[in-house]
Amino acid sequence: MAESKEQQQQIKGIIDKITLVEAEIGKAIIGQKEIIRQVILAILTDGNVLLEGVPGLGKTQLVKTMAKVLDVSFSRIQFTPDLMPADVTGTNLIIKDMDKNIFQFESGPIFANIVLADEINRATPKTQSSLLEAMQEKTVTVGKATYTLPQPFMVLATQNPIENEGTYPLPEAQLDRFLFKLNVVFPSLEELKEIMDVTVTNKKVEIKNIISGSEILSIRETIKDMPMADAVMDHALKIVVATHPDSEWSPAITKKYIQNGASPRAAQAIYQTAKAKALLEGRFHVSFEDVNFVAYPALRHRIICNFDAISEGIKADDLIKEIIDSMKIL
Amino acid sequence: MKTTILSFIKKIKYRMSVNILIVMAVRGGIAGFLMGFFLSLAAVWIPIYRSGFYSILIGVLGVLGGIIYGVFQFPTLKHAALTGDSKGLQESLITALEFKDSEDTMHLLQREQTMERIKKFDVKKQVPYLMPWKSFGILSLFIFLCILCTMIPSEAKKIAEENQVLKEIIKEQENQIEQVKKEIKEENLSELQREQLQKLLETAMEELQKIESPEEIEKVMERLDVKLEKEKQLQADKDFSEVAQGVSEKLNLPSESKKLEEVKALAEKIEEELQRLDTTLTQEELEQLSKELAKQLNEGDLSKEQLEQLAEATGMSSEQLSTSLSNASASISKTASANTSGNSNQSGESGQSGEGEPSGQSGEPLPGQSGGAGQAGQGEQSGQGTNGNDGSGSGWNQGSKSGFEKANSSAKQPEQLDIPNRILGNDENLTGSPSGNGSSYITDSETGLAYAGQKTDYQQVVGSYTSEAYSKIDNSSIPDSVKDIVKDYFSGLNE
Repeated sequence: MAESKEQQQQIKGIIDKITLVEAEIGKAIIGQKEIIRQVILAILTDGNVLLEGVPGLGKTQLVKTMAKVLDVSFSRIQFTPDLMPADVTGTNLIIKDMDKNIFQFESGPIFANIVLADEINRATPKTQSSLLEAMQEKTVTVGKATYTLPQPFMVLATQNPIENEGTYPLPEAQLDRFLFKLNVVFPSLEELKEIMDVTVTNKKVEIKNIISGSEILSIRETIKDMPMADAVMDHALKIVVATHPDSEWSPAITKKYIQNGASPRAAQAIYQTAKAKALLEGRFHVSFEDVNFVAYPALRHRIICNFDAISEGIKADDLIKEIIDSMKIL
Repeated sequence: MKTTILSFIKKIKYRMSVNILIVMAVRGGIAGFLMGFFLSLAAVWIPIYRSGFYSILIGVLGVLGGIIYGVFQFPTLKHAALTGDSKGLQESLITALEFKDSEDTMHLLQREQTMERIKKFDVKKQVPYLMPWKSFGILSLFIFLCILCTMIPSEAKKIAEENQVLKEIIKEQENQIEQVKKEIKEENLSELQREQLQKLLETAMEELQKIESPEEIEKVMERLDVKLEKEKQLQADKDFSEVAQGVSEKLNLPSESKKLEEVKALAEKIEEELQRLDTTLTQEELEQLSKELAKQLNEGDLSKEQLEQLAEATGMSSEQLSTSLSNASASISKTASANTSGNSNQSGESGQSGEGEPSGQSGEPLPGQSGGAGQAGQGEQSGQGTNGNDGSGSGWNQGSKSGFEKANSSAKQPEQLDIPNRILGNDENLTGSPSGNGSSYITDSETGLAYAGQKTDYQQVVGSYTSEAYSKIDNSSIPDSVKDIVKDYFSGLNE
């Protein structure tokens, strides 16, 4: 009983802290509350996020602010077409040590808690693939040596949906390693006004450190213990399975517009982030609403639309909505 | 805490179950009473027995069927929990239900939170009892239409009732026949005799299957009786006769009662006719009747049983009846003798010697039954019993052995039939004998009888026709050869 009280207090503390984190980030990033919440969910569930939006929406600013609030190390990698894998992971350099020339590993910018991979689609696939191991395994292998990345580790990649000339679209294998793909939308008039007020005036915004990396790791363990009913789990799995055109659960729209469905990583993403969302809302149980909410960012980059969908302007979000609506709970 | 949550879920389950029963009962009722309405509507034109009862029954069965189906659709605890969760509990119930046995800290916290939530949850408001008013309205409409159609009177309903009554009568008769068939097996008869009896009974049963009106049942049983009688005569076996008689009695074949009726009618007629013997009968008829009566009495052909039946019918004692008949016989003989010396009419003559019976050949009825006893086996109906009319009938081998007077017949006197050059047939299906057990008698005469009308001299009639013809052809422009033909014809008539 005492233990449960203690744990209850602990969890309440977590919820309060996360609320503060959101508020703190909100000082520097005007609007985008949902984006902020989803990025926090991603970091709490050990995931990576792909941010897509037109230039100037504060994607980079968001990542920087988050790093400050979470009191973790931050590095930025500007992906350009001439960027090499070694520029990301690091490389062995020859150094002189006591009259000897030895190889010493010089870590690359990827060795940070939060890595901003800016305009990731501008680098070559070879360079893009240098992130694969880091994003999934949280390790980097250079030569024969494997180096563990610091925890918590998160890659926040950004890309521009316009100006596709000279870009290299991320392969499906890499896309699948992102927990969420978030569409950063243009702010509203009020939000834009507020942004102006913050950015083009002498008004200084102090960002405080709210939570540490170790606390984030602790929260991750708590989230894993969150109970999830079979009915809710089945609902999540059915949504993922329904994205496959040859599945019995898939609705007609799937068969018509989807070429390839989501991988099991999508189900993992939905499970973990739904639990995290329930916890952040102060609940000890996961609801169907939580699953439906996180299904969009978890699935939109994992569904490959066919030519019919592209030609008719059908987006992944539309297909996900149809799939969720077709699921009968009772 | 676990029990509280469980009982809360059960409460939701109970309310859901009641709603399911209500909805299914109404739906079942709608389906049932719709079918009942169609049935009762069809019964207005198609004969369907007890259509009203069945249409209401179908409706009630529909309701019951809906309720039974609803029982199988009762929700599970899981379903009830999900239903409760869908009303704002955000899957806390289902989570608590699934982890009810876990003592994990997080699960304990989850149960505590659920308890707090269900305290604020109003089950009655969130899971109310359903009242599908629209469906109730439709159900009421169909019940009303069903009852309305049931109350509409129609010819088809009357026919249905009649058909049912007929079926019941046939069934009863068949059961009796079946019973008799079983009993025959234990009788002391030869195999062939038993087979014959069985065959007769089976034929009667087959005929019963084909009949379409209650009157035909009597005819079937009459035919059976006729065949039994014939078979009795063919077998000429005492045991067989007894068994056949037993069969007739058990089946209460109509001829037996009719026989009694005939006897009664005969006795009544005899009473009446005894008063008129000397004015209505011809000489020959009187003599014949006398002989028959005497024969019946003296030779004992009127059995004691028949005499007793006659006595009962007439209200006289056997001895009184026997005396009456003897007296009648003597009276007839005396009258017959008295008339012998008179100028009696030859039968068939036109009554020129008019003494005696002035219209002896005019078809005055014989004592006997109006319409006459049917010639055995011929005719389907008895003759129309009016004076001077011939009886009419149709059919072959379907007639009753004894004719009977029509109820509305105004004829009081029996009918006389003349059958020129009649040849008695030898059809095995005609099981009666000429005049049989009937009360008519047959006489052969060499000349026919004239009925009614005025009698004139033949020569006078032919003569007047001849003179008329001659006068016509003399004054016409007919060719001489044709005139000769006419003259030859009339001269031939005059020869």
